Amino acid sequence: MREPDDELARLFASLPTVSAPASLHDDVMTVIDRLPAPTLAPGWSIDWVEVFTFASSAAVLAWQLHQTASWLTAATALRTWTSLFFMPTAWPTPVSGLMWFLLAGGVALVVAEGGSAFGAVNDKLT
Amino acid sequence: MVTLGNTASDAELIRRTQAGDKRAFSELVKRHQDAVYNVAYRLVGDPEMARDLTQEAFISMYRGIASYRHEARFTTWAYVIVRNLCSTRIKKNAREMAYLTPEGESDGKLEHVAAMDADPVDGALRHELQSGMMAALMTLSMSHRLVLTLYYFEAMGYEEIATVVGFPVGTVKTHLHRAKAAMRRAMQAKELV
Repeated sequence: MREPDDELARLFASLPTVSAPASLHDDVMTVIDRLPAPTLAPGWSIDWVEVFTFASSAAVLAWQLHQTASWLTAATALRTWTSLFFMPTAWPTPVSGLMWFLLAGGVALVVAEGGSAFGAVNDKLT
Repeated sequence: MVTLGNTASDAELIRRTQAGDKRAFSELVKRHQDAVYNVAYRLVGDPEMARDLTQEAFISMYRGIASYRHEARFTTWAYVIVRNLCSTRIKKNAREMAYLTPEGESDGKLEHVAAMDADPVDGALRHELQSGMMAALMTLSMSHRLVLTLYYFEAMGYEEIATVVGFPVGTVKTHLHRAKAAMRRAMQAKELV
């Protein structure tokens, strides 16, 4: 129950929690016992959104590596990409897939620009 | 012999159910039947209908448990199913919820929720307030009832509510704000506040 931070919370808190009828469990299980055991879905399936997201962000990474041609920036980009893509909470959906794509592109651009700037400074120094 | 009891997590019980262990599902029903029944009851306001919907919800969960992907809590998934069933049932009913009886005409549906106070006067006042609260809740739209129930009774956060109702988080916040305002108006109309 919510903290009584407002009048409504206090009033809702005054309502009792109702208990399920005593026979509900048995009634449910009587029906369940007549049903066949659940059929598990195939162990794998192709999630095309995920495939697209993975492929597109991998393509952006490859382009970035081609542009910068620097092991340092390549390693940084690879680390960023893997940490973003393989975060345990990353479950691409059509929306989040697009977000990942844009994010990967943004990271690629920033790193590529940074790599170019670093290369230019390095050239001047040497 | 493998014991299930209170030690197994919901995820473990779901995995066992997916593997064909009906006793594991029985444990899930025992564990969550009160919560699921409560949500159904707050949505339809009728104990008998809530009972039917809760039973139907658990059977639907069992039928669909093979596709459960462990991305959300079991209760969140359960509430999505309850919401869908309640919504379908309400639409099927020609009249907007049987609970909406004229004021002052008790149909006895809330008798079982009144606390049995030692002081009969206090008990009567409490019962009146509880009945009035439920009656006010039942005047709201289904989506407003749902967000209020999940927010106040189930103490869910915005993100979790968004998963259940199928709206973006921003829309949930707007809905909740409007639902609170509607509830206050309904309670003022019944002179409860």
